[in-house]
Amino acid sequence: MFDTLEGVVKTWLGLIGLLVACGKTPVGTSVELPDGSPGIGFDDLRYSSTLHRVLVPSGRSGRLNLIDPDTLAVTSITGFSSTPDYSGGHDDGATSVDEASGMLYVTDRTTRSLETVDPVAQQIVGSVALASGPDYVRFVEATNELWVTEPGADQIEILAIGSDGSVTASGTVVVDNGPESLVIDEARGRAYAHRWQKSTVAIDLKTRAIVAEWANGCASSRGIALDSAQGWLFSGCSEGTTAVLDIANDGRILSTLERGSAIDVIGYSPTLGHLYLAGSACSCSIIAGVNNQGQLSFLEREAAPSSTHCATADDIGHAWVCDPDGGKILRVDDHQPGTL
Amino acid sequence: MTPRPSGWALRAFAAFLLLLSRGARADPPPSVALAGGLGYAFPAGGLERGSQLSDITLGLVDISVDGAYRLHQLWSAGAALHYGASIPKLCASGSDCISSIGRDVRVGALGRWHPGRWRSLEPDVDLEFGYEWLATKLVDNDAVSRRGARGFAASLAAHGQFALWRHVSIGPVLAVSGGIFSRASLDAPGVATARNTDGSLVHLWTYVGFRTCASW
Repeated sequence: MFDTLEGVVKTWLGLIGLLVACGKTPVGTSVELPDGSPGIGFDDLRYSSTLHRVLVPSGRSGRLNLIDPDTLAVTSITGFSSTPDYSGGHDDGATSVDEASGMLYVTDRTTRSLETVDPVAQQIVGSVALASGPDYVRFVEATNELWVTEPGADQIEILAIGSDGSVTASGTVVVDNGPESLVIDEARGRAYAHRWQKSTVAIDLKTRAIVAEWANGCASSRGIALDSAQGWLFSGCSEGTTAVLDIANDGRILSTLERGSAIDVIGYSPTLGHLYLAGSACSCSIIAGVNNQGQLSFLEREAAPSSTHCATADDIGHAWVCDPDGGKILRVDDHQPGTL
Repeated sequence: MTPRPSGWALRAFAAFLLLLSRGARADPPPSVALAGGLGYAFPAGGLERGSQLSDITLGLVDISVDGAYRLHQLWSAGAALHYGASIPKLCASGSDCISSIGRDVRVGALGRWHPGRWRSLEPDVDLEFGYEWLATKLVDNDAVSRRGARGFAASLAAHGQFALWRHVSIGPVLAVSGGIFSRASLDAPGVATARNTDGSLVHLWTYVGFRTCASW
């Protein structure tokens, strides 16, 4: 009898061991960043097709790193706030970037400032103080403005870019219980940002007024992405739901996908119709596809660092996933066929 | 032509009769047993393609009740109900975490094997088949996202019951419950859907706990 019980126990323990052993090595090509070893509080990741570089504001390391997606060579622009210790969050130094008229604009959370970076000279060429702690910066081509989300003040601060390249404050948009994430829809003259729970607001770029508010499928709203050509807005929820909102139909939710957990910054490839998600609670990166009806489908899941929460896409078939505890970025090859 | 039973079948049947006769010679066992258990269940396996059970819950604080009728010295049959409070994987504040507690409910019919008694230890093994409903949620301030999944499940549980008194025993439980969710649902701001799951993946709960049993 005890032989039988022993066998059963051994089988269970073996099964548990097998499952534990499935805690997998993150998938992707690791890109080491300068001074990354203590860890880096990444947040916003971007890709510049004009520079052909992945733009990586690198938190406490005091750098904006530019990664060549082909060679993985890193160009490091210094001069942002730095601190030797990594606190585990993303509250230090450079955390968001956008590109405008050949320049890069980078938020520095420590100094609460917006830095202007010349990517050719590889140096900071200007700085302007912000009204509150910044989260995301995005360029609005139609008005030649920079919109900077400041969730601590429930507002988006708007800064005008002068003809001489100077940056000056020019107003605010109040987004109560927000704003979280920001994406600009030049084709429709709108900006979209989440409230922290439940909904996404559409803001007119010229009048700076909230003109619509849509349920976004999220209890905890996080990432945002846009397919301007299709008229779809993607909301990424911390709890793992991703939703497609139909901009032309008052934000009607076309489909949802429930995958992963602790999803934050999401990436999107409009050429492939692929969304890239990364979540710390699942230690996973996920590729989801959207078809021409706005229907989401699961494509692939890979192991990712346990601290990951951000992802972006380039234009040559890669997803880029952050590894804050490792102070690294992972390039994940997307071999899935396009879904649009 | 009438098929003849094979030699193996005859020998197996004879062994079974022998087993029954050995059981029948022992003291008459209690005919009814009612038990309650408390334990913790660790999640593993897939909820659906690309989705792990451990993505949405840290595990279950599981309460169970079962009742069985002794059909024979070696065998009982009965039913069981399991209610697990699902511990949320994500939540920002204490109140949100309390509000985000979900549930896993499983009901099933069970067959129980009583291998024998060694001093005060009377172990038994349950094989259970039933149906499972999992409901998880995330509450963030006043916003709620609920996910559900349901499907058939089976479990194998070993109970090590030590006699405390004449009719009461207590002991550890080690069990594994597996199932396949066939339906999934989402109820979140702006969306309420129910659909078939994407793929048929096996999920597992590995359960450790204690169980008290009353029999007469």
